[in-house]
Amino acid sequence: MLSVENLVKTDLFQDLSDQALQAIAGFAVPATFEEGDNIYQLGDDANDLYYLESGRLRFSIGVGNRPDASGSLILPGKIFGWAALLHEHPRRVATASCLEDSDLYIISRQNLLELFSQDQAAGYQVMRRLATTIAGDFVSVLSV
Amino acid sequence: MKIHVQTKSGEFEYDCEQGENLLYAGLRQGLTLPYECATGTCGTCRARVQEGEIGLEWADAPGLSYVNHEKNELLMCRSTASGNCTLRVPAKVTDGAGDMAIPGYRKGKINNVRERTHDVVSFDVTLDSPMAFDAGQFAVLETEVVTGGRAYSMVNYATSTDTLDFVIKRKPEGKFSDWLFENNIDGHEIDVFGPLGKATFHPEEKKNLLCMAGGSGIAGMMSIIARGCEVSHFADHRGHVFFGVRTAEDVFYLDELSSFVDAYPETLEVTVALSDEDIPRDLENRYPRIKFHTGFVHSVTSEQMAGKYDNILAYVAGPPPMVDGALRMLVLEARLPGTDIRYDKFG
Repeated sequence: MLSVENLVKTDLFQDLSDQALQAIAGFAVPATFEEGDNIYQLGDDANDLYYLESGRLRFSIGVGNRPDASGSLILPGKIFGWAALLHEHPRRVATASCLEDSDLYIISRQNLLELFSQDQAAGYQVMRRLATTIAGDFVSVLSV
Repeated sequence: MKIHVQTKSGEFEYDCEQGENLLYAGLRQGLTLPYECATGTCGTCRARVQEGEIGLEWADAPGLSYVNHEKNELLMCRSTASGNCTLRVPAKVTDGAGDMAIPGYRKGKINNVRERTHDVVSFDVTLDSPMAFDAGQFAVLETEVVTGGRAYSMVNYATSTDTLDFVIKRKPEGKFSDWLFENNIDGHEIDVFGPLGKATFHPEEKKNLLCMAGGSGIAGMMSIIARGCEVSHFADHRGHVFFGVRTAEDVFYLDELSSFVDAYPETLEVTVALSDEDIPRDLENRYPRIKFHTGFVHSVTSEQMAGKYDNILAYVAGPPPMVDGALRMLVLEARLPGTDIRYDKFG
């Protein structure tokens, strides 16, 4: 089971109450992916968030004529795939692939949104953190 | 030397010459080893050395940021073997490229160098033997003057040809493009490896085409449109070409694009988007077949393509912000599936 101690260290869930964290840990489902597997690809429906327990992932958005290797690494302890929290039929605009055999927890969008509708304080805290993440991505895009 | 590869779809063995990079050796023998840029940037050709001695060609390759050195990982496109070796490749590999032409080495000679804009040149390369390629593919060009190869899309299309056309934009501190711009390269001999790339056009898919290009990303689109015209694809399919540059001084290939539209005025549209200035009136007058709009190319595409995404296959090429913006637009607004969006991971 995904530990609450690990979950509270993530950027997205760091402000949540123990009760909310335990709820998320309770519906997080473990999954194993092999090196070379894609967790998701550009254009896929975004139905889940993920917590990387062990392994190493590559996260790449569009690529092109860039001076550096495109994308970024996702290391253990990170939440990724937050497009699943966006409004109305969210889809992936990036690809997440395994650079090593990786253990993840899958956190369902539907379960999260149900939790947030019941615990609106938790929903507010997560959306506040999500806005910060999106703003950070926007700044990094502008600085390319 | 023998290179043994363990993959997700079985084990294979291929020959590799002294000093030859591990990726090209496998590709030229028909193995579908994983790659995107084939020049050390993207990191897709990552493999793990199980046995043998490997040399690294380019220690600062950007793609090495995805390599775990502690696990003896490497980029096949930037590595050479000094003896027999065994690699683990975390991908499905087949022996035989299907309908795609198997890439190979050729010698070429640069001809017809032409300055298209202040920072764009075009030239053709006459090969020592014909090459077959699909519209949208690229080749790696290498000269002994500059270390390492550079990937460029072919502009032309021919079923099999001994002439490849290229268009290249000067990059800040780009050693290869500096060499192109600062020297008289007409007649210079060059090494060519190709064809490469999977963002290809196949008329038998029977799709309407959306081509979004920024700057020299128009190269592969020219090949795709040429192929479409050759097989009369636009007689019964639509083609929408969006070409983004900063200013009117940066735009090129307008005569060629106008000729394409002349051939299929009812179904083929070309729109040029200028991001940094209003449209000069004389440009519109000189090129009445082409539409001009102000804005980023993905924004202009979004406005002009609303409601026209039926049976669309999209191609995207250009600088990173443009490609990112285009992909977001195609996924989130146009709601195209990922399988209907094609782009190569190189410049």
